[in-house]
Amino acid sequence: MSKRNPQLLTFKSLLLDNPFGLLVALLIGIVGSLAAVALLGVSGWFLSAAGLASAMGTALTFNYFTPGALVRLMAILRTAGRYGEQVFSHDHLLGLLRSLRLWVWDQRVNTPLNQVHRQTKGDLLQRLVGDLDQIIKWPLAVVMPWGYGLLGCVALLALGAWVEASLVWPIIIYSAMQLLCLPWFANRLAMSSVYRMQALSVHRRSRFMSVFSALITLTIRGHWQHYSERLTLLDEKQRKLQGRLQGVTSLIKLLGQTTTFLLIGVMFAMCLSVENESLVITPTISATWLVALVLATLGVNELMQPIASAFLAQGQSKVGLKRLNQLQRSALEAADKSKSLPSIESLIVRNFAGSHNDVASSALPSVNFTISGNAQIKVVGASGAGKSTTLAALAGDLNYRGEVMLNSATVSLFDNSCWREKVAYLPQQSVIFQQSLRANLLLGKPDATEAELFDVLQLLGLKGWVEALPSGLDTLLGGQGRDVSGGQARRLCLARILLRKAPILILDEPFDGLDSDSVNRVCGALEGGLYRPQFLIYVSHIESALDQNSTHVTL
Amino acid sequence: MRTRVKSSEQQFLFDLQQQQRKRFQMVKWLGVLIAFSIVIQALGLAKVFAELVLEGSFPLNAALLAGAAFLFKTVLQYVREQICATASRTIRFSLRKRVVEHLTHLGPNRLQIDEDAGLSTRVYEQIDALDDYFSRYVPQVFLVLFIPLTILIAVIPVSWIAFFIFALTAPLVVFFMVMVGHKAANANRKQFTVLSLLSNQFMDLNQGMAELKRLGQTDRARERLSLTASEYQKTTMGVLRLAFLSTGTLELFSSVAIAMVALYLGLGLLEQLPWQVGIAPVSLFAAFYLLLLAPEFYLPLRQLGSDYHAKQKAEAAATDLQEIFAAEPSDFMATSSSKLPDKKGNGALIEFENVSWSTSGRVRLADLSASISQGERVWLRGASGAGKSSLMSILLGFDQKFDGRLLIKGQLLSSSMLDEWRRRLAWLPQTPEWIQGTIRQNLELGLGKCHDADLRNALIKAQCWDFVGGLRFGWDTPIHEAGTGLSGGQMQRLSIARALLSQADVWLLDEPCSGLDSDTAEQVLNTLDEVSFGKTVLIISHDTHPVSWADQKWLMKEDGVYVEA
Repeated sequence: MSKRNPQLLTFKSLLLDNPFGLLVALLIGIVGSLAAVALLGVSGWFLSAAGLASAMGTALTFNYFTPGALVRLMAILRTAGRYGEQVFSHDHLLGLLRSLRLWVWDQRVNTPLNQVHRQTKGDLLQRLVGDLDQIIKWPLAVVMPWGYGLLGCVALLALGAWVEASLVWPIIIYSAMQLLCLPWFANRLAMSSVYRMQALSVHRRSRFMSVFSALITLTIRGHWQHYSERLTLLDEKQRKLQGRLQGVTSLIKLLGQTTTFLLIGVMFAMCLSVENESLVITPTISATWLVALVLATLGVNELMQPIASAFLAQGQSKVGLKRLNQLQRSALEAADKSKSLPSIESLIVRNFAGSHNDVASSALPSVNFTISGNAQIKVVGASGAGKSTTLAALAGDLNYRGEVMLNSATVSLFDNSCWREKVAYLPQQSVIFQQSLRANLLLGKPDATEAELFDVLQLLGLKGWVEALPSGLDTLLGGQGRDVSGGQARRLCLARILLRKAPILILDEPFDGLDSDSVNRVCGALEGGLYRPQFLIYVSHIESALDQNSTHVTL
Repeated sequence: MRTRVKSSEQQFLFDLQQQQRKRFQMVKWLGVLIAFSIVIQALGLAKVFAELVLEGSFPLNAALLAGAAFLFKTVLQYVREQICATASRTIRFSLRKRVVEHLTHLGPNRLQIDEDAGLSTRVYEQIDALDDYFSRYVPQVFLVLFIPLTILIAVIPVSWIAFFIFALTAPLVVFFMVMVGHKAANANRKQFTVLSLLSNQFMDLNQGMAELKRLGQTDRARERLSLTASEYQKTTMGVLRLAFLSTGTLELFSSVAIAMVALYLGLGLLEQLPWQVGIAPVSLFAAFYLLLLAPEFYLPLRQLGSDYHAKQKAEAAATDLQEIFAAEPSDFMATSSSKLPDKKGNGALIEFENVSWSTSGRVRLADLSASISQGERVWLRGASGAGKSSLMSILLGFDQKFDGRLLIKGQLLSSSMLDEWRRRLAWLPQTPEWIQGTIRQNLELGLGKCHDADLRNALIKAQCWDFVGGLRFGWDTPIHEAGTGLSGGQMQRLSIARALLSQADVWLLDEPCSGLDSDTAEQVLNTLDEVSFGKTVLIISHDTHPVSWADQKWLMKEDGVYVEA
């Protein structure tokens, strides 16, 4: 999973991601858990044996070194085990988080762009992150407690067999109850609620988004109350489900404890017999070992506690996995387009119209043009004619109908990474990353020198602003361009695009937010200067010097 | 050193906790009962064990007592868990209601806190992050004191030595907890922030995925993700090793104390204690009693240690939630109108009298005195940041803490007339407000079902008929968040149709043409000219999109609003 071959995520793949790490954590945890049980058991045995020896008058010959040492050893093992388990299991958890994130990343890289947009919008991404956080806890919340419980039961079984062979049966039944029946019962009782709750929380959030995005209209119409009541209703449902789940968790705990109680009762019952109208221990059984067994059972009871809530984590992880795997399904559609393209001599575009894979796009008019040599094309057209759509499709962001021929060979543009290498595209939406200003610019040209960066900043009239910043190029920018104005963000994106110096430059409204001096400077640089591309295709509602030398293509 | 002064987050959580004082009180009493049943169970079991070992007989009474105590404790724990969970749910769900209500009153100002998607995370995930704090941490804080104290007292009559072992280790535990725990808490907090930073980075890169693809930088981004994650794993493990030391210390003390008690008792029973050879200081019964209580003595502390992260999570969430409440709504819900008595206005529909507005030293709206008569259309322009949007917010009734007076038909705009006033308004912002649903549902938003004829009429007037008719499902075509296939101009036209459909006679437009190219903008403005004739209109628009048909032109500058002829 950590490698780049995309495959479905399953619980098995989670376990096998770093099996060694998990195993180490599990083993250390087992040592700790067993030591905790044994500490009580051995102590109990030691006390009773000592008490008995003293009563029998054999105290002086009693070897108290071995049990004493054992008690101390168990104390140390328990401490070390608990500590070690925490350290190693968290190490494993972080490793899992890393590889799961990379998995998600790979799926998304392989997903066609038009679907990436849909995934990016709104809360979906947030949900993905939440799902990841849920899934990485699965080994910790489900696998490990169950493993400890199992080992605890096995140890108890061994001790029980040693004390009295017939005790094996109640212990086996007890183990089956605790490890299989109760989890199964919890599943039956609550799994549908877990799924419902997950579905409901998605529904609730999209309702929230939908209602809040129309908050003002709803408020001034006086209908906000009505809409928000439905939001409250969903919340109320969620609350009931949560209550139910919490109830089931507690009930399972209660049942688990009662089972332990019954086991201890049965143990006593099987080891006792009636003599002279009073209960006495069966002579063949050692009372000291019986005491140890009962204490160990109490210890195992503690181990069983976390299993009661494991079903919840199990259900949530299952839903999370299912959702993550949906990413993979859309990623499968991405075809392999790995052959690189020759250098461009001419580009013929026929009956070309972008399509959103959606409504209304079939109505968009198509466009025809041919460019060769050094050419500039301005796409013009009425509002809604699909200028931006055409540019996005030309850049490979969108699907399209029609045909594009590169050096008279048909080429598929959509999501073709080789085509992307030839293209620098400035979309309408500015994207600023939560990195330093420098890192944001270097995305355009990773090996650009500082001089190059300042050069392009100067061109766009940003140099003064950057120099005035206390940390200059190393200023950290907020996510989604929160720290810069819309105009600045736009110009930073343009700077990044110009730095790429790709043969084909596609610009969607490049002059938005630029003053006329900058517009002139940019035009100069594009036409004769440093940043002159082989082909320039652009859309702009601001008139500029570029227009005179451009072929106008009308949609 | 740390002072006992509560941080604002702690105060916030404490106030929430107080809402469920009764339930938490009950939880405390249950805790008391639980402590007692622990002691009784130990008594009974010890008696059973001692007689079983020494005499081979089984004291049924003691066994029943222990069993009853065990079952009683189990049931008590069940009830206690239920009450805690209910308390936590009540707190969280009522808090959520409050937050949503608060956001509603903030109106357009909510976006200063975060985008809607971010707000939804706060409303749902962040509030749910308080769960563990209220359902586990808070109840545990009481137990952590009470149970050890009860056990300490219960031990006195049996053995002074055991009492001292407990009494001496307990402060030591606390001492080490404070020493290691303080460092660990800091480390924990750091780890928490780094983790959320990492989460942010992942989100950020993912949001920009399309751009990274365009730039051919997805591989580098992947490397970056992988590298920071690995580095983070390394550094965090260092931090965590320290953080877990605090739980490790507890574990150590608890284990060592059990071992010490067991050894002391075992040797004592064998009469081999170095300082009193030949004398047994305790009976076997007492020895078992002490051994059974030893783990229980440390158990609450250990649990508190493992629930500690719940507190951290809750405090982090509290910070985010407080931020929402810190943004005070200044609509009528918050202000009691204590303005000057009514004065007859000049008969205009809307009249501003020296309206200005500044919050925390920042001028949000410079001085404005002007009036708009019924049916008048006003073009408002000015530099960005001069307060044009603030003025809209005031007119929409979301901000009332301004200075000066706003008169509607000569009357101060007050809460009693706000509903009526708002119903007259149509609101057309820069990006039209859309809900998920069909075009028709969006047009009818907040209006209820409309007649097909009205709908058609509005669409025709707003010049939407052609393109809506061209869609495969007509006005039943759904509008998605992304990729509608409708252009910005078409969306803006639809919002004009919505305004027409609502029969509102006062239209407020906040830069309806920004984001449109000049041709489209001109066409939209022309449509607006036609359909808004006879309505009262206040339209904000840049110089680049002049509103030629306006009756009045206002220019907003830093120092005030200038009314041009």
